[in-house]
Amino acid sequence: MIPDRVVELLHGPALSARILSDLENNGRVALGITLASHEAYQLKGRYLASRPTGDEDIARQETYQRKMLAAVRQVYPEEIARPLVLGFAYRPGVAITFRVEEIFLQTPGPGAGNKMA
Amino acid sequence: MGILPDEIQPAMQGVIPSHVVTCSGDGTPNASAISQVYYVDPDHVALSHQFFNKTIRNVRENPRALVWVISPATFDSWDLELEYDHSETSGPVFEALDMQIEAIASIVGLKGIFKLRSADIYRVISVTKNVDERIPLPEIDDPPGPR
Repeated sequence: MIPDRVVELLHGPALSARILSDLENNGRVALGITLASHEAYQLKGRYLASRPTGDEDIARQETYQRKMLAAVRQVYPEEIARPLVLGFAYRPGVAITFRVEEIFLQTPGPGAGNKMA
Repeated sequence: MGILPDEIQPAMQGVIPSHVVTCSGDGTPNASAISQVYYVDPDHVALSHQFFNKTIRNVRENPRALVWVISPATFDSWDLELEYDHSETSGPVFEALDMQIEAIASIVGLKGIFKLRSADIYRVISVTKNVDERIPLPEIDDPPGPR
């Protein structure tokens, strides 16, 4: 159970070492979230902890991949959508948790950058 | 010989959006999606300044930025460490970027919302290919579970 206002993100191996090093040094997090429709948000907060991912995390990632593939297929042809979504390596991986302090709208348009919470 | 390898150029055509991360003077990070990282020459790229004003404010305080780009041909991705150099509001780079932005906006149904204010030119400090991030294309399987 993840507490209110605490977000857990799952990351693959490529950049984990550098991300964790930066988080240990600075502790501040900015996470961009963008849908295929260009609807976008940014969460800013403070790093709490990290741990290696396990079977439950991998199952969550596979569920997410299936949903993501369906969305990306609406925008890109199959020869891009499939490798783009399914080609990210996430074994081994790391789960990073942080406390959200601010939420910003980033959808392109007049309201981009507005603080939502 | 410049710092950007030739193989990175397909990742700079705006087919797959890129991401840019900056930090303010006090170390607060900011992450933003960006339509295109434009290849200027082997040592410089241009970022479109449209409406990501926090990014612009940050690079004026702290000129370092990091961008992530991905090739639609091979799906290789790279991290580029950049340093802001100057902004251009006319000339060949601005015109080319403006045309690209207009095309991308039209394709994604956001025509009239994407407006190029300037082409911001950055010097490339380092290039890192994210070799562990991708599964090789021949090894990509469909995800398990119902479609």
